[in-house]
Amino acid sequence: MNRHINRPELLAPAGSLEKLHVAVQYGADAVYLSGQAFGLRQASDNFTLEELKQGLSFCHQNNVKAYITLNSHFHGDDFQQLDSFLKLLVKDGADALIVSDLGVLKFVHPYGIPIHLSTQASCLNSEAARFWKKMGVKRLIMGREVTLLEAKTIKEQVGLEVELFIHGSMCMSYSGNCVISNFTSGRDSNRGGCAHSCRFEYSLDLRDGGRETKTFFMSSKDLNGLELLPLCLEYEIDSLKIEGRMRGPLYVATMCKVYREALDYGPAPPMLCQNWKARLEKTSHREYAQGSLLCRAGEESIYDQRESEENPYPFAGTILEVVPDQHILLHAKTALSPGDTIEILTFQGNDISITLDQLFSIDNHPITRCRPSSVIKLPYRSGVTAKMIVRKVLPVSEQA
Amino acid sequence: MKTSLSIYNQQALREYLALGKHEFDQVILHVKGLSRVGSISLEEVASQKNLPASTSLVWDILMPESEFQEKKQLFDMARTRFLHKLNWRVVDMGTIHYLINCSPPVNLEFDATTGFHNKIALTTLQEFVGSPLKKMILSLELPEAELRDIHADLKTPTEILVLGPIPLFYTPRHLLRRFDTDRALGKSEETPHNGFVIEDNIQGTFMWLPKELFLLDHLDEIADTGVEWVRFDCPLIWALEGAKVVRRFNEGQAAWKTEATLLKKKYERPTIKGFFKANRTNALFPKLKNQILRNKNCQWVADVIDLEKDRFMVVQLKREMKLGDTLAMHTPEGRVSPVQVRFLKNSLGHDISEAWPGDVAIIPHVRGACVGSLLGREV
Repeated sequence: MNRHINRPELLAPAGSLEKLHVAVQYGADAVYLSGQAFGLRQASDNFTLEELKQGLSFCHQNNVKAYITLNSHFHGDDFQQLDSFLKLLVKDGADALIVSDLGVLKFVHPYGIPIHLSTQASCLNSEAARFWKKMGVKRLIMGREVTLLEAKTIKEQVGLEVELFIHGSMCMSYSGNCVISNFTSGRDSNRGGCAHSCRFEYSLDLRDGGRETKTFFMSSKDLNGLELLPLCLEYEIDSLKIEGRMRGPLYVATMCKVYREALDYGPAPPMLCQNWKARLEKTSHREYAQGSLLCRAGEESIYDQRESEENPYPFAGTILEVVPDQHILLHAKTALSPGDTIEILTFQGNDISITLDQLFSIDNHPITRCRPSSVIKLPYRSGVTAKMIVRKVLPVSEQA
Repeated sequence: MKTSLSIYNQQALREYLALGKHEFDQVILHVKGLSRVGSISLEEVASQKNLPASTSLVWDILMPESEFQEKKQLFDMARTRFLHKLNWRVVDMGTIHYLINCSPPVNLEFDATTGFHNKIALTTLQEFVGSPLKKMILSLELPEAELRDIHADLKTPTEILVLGPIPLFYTPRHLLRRFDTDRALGKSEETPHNGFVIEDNIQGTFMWLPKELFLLDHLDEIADTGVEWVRFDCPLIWALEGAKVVRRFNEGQAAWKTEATLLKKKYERPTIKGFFKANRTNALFPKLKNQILRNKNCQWVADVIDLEKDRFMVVQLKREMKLGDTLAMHTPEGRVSPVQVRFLKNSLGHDISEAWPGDVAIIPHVRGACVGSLLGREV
């Protein structure tokens, strides 16, 4: 594998301690995570103070950076508990804070932790970048409307690190400027409670003689920037972020592994690119587009379809333990039966495909079907280690 | 209390100027090319000889780099040719940075309609911009108490909307273009609101709440918070009536409130008071996930990941566990039961005396246990 030394950092979502471990083990250079407050994903597990300490420690043991999100739009009372939280982050060695609010930025500056400007601040141009530089920001997480070329220009002109979203769900609105959820669902999207109103189906009265249409006109396709990695390398983008703190361990593992391989490889032959793309297809997602990375997203970026959870490669569980020459212990998250095929995502290299002949309960009874959230034994297989993520391959007849 | 009026198109500007006298303390002109929904050309503004002394031009679009370079040229042309005396009302931090570095300095008004919800943010910006900052437009999400708190440290005059549509959404993408229309009314079965106004123009797509903001019946409380300016984003005919209410209030006439209430009743659209009396949009957050097992003052020892009723539980350890330990089991529903580790086995079924973080172990089943329960030591 050709290792590119100056490649962009691969920054992965860590919605929980479990997912942080997954991100680190599957190749993330850095993770972003949140405490129980101040972030933009209130529905995510997030981290207790104890988990935060453990997570930061695990990252640092593995030479991975950990960035803490404080990117909600703070109201006055929200500052009350910030000091004690920041002291803890200083003590535990947080590598950066992700901030969107100018008041928060001012407040956290004296604590000495590097500050990354959240995409929530919609920093879109070099003049804005200069403003934020004067405010003490070290890195800009650019607004999603910024192209790769513009990010390169801003970096060159202003001299700040730049980070771009490379994969995942996309806001249709300018980030931080959408308050649909606040006014219609009573949940402040800019404090982590987004009700995803842009994903609703709307009935539009088109006002030209009663013409009416039902549409998901505000829903955006998902971002997939895999094919643009060579350009990211060429433009010296500092960090590439995978969206998805609400997504599961299989998503995190797949994204980290594929993007890490692709970044390490650099410009790759078509067959390898096809392989990476095929593996990304194995996670559930909306139709992919390249957002505004190459040119400004237009009408083609609208995902005018009802969301579907159907996925031919569902999360099957996590390997809990491997006892050499004895068994593999799987924490199954979906129903499995003899005859099913699973794929074990190794931390590096080819994944391992297994067709299950027999399943056993933990106390060694043969079982014909395990229920989700149970612990089962599989025959031992070399190359498999604890904490590997497993997906199920649904038979073609069961695929939608 | 001073009044300002938003004007969005040339027809409305002409209607306003035709009144012959200035009924508002300031007019805000939404100009073509620089504002989100305005269509008044800069030439039209320049050609008007009788604009009020206090006129502000709106440059509130957000701009990625290439667009920003274009808009800077538009602004530079307008400023050098004819508009150097007017204030500019801006949102993008890039615009602010650009304007304060212009020579001669440009007076600006910062529009924080969807952000800057705390006084540290506002005072930091106030300090950074300095004397060119003439006004701050505060967020629609700030309740009365927070408005009062913010004004304790703010020197810059502030403004809030008191009558007009509530903007919800702004994207640079054109979402209605494929329907061959530039305006629509939207509704969804997933929200009780009906009649979202949607507009697609050269700057992108915008959406407003079906109900408009009406705060004229709260003028006394608004004044008490320290807000100096109230703004009308509604059509002129209604803004004139609103301005009359404000004049009554300023003159100390008790009738102002009755008139405000009457105006509210006859206003052309349904209205709400938004978040002025309370903003509880974070109150539902605890319900978004199970809080029972989060942040308990307890040293968690293990997660229950599987069980066989009346026989055993499979646990994954976070901390060391020893044969004979007494632990407390907390279920996701909040029930707490004691657990005696009477036996401890590994996955091979072998008896062990202790297990370590990360290990999977088998311990006795406890009545009421379920997957997702946590075993802990009370601190």
